Amino acid sequence: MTDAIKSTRDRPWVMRTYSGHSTAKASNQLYRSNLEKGQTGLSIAFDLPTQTGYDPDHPLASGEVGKVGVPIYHQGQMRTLLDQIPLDQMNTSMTINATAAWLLGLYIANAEEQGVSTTALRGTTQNDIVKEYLSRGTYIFPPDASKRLIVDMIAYCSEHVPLWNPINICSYHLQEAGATPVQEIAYSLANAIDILDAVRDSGQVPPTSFPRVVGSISFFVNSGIRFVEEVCKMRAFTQMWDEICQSRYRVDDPKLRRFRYGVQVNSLGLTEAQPENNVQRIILEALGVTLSKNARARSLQLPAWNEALGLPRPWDQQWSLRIQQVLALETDLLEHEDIFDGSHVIESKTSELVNDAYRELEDVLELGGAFEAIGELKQRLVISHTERMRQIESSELTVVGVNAFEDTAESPLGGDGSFLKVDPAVETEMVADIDNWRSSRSQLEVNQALENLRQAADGEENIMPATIAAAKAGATTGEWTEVLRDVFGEYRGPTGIQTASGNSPGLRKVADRSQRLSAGPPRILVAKPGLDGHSNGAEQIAVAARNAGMEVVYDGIRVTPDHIAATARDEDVDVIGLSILSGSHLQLVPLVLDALQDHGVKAPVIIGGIIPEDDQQALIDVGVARVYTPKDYEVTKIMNDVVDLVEEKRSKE
Amino acid sequence: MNRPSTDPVALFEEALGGHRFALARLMSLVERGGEEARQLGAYTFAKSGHAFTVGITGAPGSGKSSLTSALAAVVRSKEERLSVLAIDPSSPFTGGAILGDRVRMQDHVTDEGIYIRSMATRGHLGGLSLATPQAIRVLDALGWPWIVIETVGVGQVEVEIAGAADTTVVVVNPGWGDAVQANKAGLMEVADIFVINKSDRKGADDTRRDIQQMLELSSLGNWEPPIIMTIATDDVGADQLWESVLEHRSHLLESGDLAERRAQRIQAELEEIVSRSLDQLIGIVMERPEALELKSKMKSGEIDPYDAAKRLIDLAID
Repeated sequence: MTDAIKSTRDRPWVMRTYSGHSTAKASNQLYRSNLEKGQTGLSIAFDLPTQTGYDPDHPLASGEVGKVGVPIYHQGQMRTLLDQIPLDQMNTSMTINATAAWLLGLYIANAEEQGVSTTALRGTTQNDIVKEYLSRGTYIFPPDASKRLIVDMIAYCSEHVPLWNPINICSYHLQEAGATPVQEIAYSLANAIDILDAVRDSGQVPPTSFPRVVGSISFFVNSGIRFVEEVCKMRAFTQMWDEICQSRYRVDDPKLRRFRYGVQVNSLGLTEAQPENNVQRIILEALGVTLSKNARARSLQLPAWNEALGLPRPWDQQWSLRIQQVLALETDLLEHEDIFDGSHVIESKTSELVNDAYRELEDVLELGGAFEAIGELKQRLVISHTERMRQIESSELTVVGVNAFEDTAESPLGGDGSFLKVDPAVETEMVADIDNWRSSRSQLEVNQALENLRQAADGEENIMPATIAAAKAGATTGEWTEVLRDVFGEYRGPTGIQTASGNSPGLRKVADRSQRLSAGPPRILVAKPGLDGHSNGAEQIAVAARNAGMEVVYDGIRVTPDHIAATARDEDVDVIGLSILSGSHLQLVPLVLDALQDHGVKAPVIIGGIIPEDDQQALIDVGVARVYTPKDYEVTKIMNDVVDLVEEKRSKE
Repeated sequence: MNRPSTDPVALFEEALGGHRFALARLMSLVERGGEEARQLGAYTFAKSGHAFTVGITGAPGSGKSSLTSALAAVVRSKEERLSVLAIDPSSPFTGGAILGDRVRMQDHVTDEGIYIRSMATRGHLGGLSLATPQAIRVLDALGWPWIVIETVGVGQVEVEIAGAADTTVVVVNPGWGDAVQANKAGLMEVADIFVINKSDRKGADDTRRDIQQMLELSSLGNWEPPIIMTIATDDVGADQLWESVLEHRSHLLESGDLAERRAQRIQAELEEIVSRSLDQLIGIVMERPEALELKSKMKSGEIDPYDAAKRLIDLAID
């Protein structure tokens, strides 16, 4: 390679690994070692109590502390998390939404403590609540209040933290919830428009600064296995966002109209069966968002090959980082102009997506915009997802190793040692830590800071100054959220399951069985205990059960064991289906079983989720009737099992 | 806690003693129908007639469940007990159903002063399940003073619920006009109380005026249905709705309409039972050898369908 060629190479994208777990201290060590390995930015995963605004000693936090990310309950923990990481040089992405204002507050408070000016801070708060309502489930407040918090953050950053991306509009999770490429484009752009309109109308940003606000909006996109179509999707996004910024917001500077996006390639498509195949899936998906120079991702994070099995270890994450490095640094990818310019195939597919997405976007805007139309959008996504599940089950969609070429030689990978397990003692440690924190601060100052926060929330003042002050005074994540819960109320999102159909011949046969049961159709309760809000699986089970002739009581997300037991008892259900994806099944399931016993419920319990093999047996041992993992994609079989269980249960009564 | 028995009377006594699972199982027996349900009906008939039933109906997505939840909070704040029957349609193709939106009723689940039960229509047209009147009777006999029946209303359903409840609340949203145009007159007939839910949306005042005008034109009887504006998700207007229910109840008691309504209701239930029993009887008769013989005679042209039908009916009446 000559120097001339080298000098024309494009700069590589920001390389990240989505990580964080156990404690602030453990995560800090992980980040520092990742940075030493050549990672160029941080991507912080928070645990579910932090994401949903509970302290570790809250009953709902039980079993969830430190599981899917790092617990950050106060400024001391943020300090530990960022120890020896130079904030003025770091580009930090935080996957945080309902409590985004609080975590940004902690980050800013920390920077000020380190003597770093807020104008030097670079990074992103995800802060996209629409996709939480539609897919990811860590929302807290109702739509209007949530939108207001987002607007406040954008306005604050525009003045005080100008290099920060205050919101990262996510199409990623829409694809996971079943969105087609057209839906993905349309719904996320509708979301961005809703937010920008609200910022403009809030009067908090002077018109001269508004183009810069438009320029600060970034996106977080999913890249699936149909990577040629994904290339076109990215080109369609880029074209449409440029046009919208120009026509709707009159942004003249083309740089500020640039569709800036980061990518996490698809985790939904990663398989538990023959997990080594996920490596090639990840590579192809990475190509989808890097091949086209004009629509290339600004930052990329690749999941680990074993994500469908459990929590990845540092080595698994390193492997994914190395994939990026080979792609960016060894290949000639970055030496060329856009290799698709002039390709009529790519261009015609792109314009097809653009046209369809504009139509869908118009439709959403007519429904009143993304926030107003959440119920309708949720229904459409559940319908799309049901269709996808049907295609996999009927083998219309080939998934190698899952519904085709299932035979495999024995794998040297896998087994129980092939992923990370979080020590349950972390929870005890965190509870002790917060006790300690609360007793070492000035309660008077905290009370005053929280009172100021309440007044800001109740009035029209920007929420950020009071939030930063509360962080400095020593308030906790649970306390900050509690004040806002009190002022704004709590929201229950739409489930979207009422209208989805998606019948299959297999399910029809199960329905015939259900209808022949002498004591009436099976009654099944579907619920998600704990804080995990990824409800797509639970929703699909509810829809499939309905199509299998069952009467479904859907209890939704974030329900306590007592709640599940009381519902099961009052509804006299035959079967209870629980979905848990956060890895907290060993803690949560026994609590639910105890509660059921206390309430006199003897209906069998089935579990679905990311459950490692050893844990499956442990769950069966404590009394669970069946355990299903992503390997069990044949929903017809699951439904037949349910009818078997119902017959067995009723025969004993 | 031991599992309750399947004997309906024993279950009833257990439920009366506060055994929640027994109550839930009674509801299941009622839903299943058959001999046990009949026994239970006979046992509870004389013990019922004390509860007051409120029907809440409206189009899907109008906010019925949120409204029921808000109303339940008001009733509970007066320290009175309340049960809710949430009825949803079964699929005519598979028999399956997504039952009551319990996600909207979550505040009340662990409150022992509220009993919520979801039921599917199980093939019964008209929005209520066959078991509804019987389920109401059991709850009534067990001493639940207030029973709310929530149904998805589209077209005829509102009429059915009006038959099943003492007070019927019809829920609409701002801009309801086009959606229910054809059925407006029907709604006027059944509604004892109108609720405009999500009244913070635009068009709420127009909708109110619209209903007001329709009511003036129809002027049915001596009760003028009030129009209540609510935002159920924010608990706005639920107090007022409850006041109106109480007023309507007083009106029914003073005017003697309550007794009249209930007499009509039980009459309708009788007709329903008779017609269902006849259906079953026809099923049985059609399988008898005589019926098969008549069918083959009809096929060969020896006998016409009217004649065959008359002979079958005679056979059934025997």
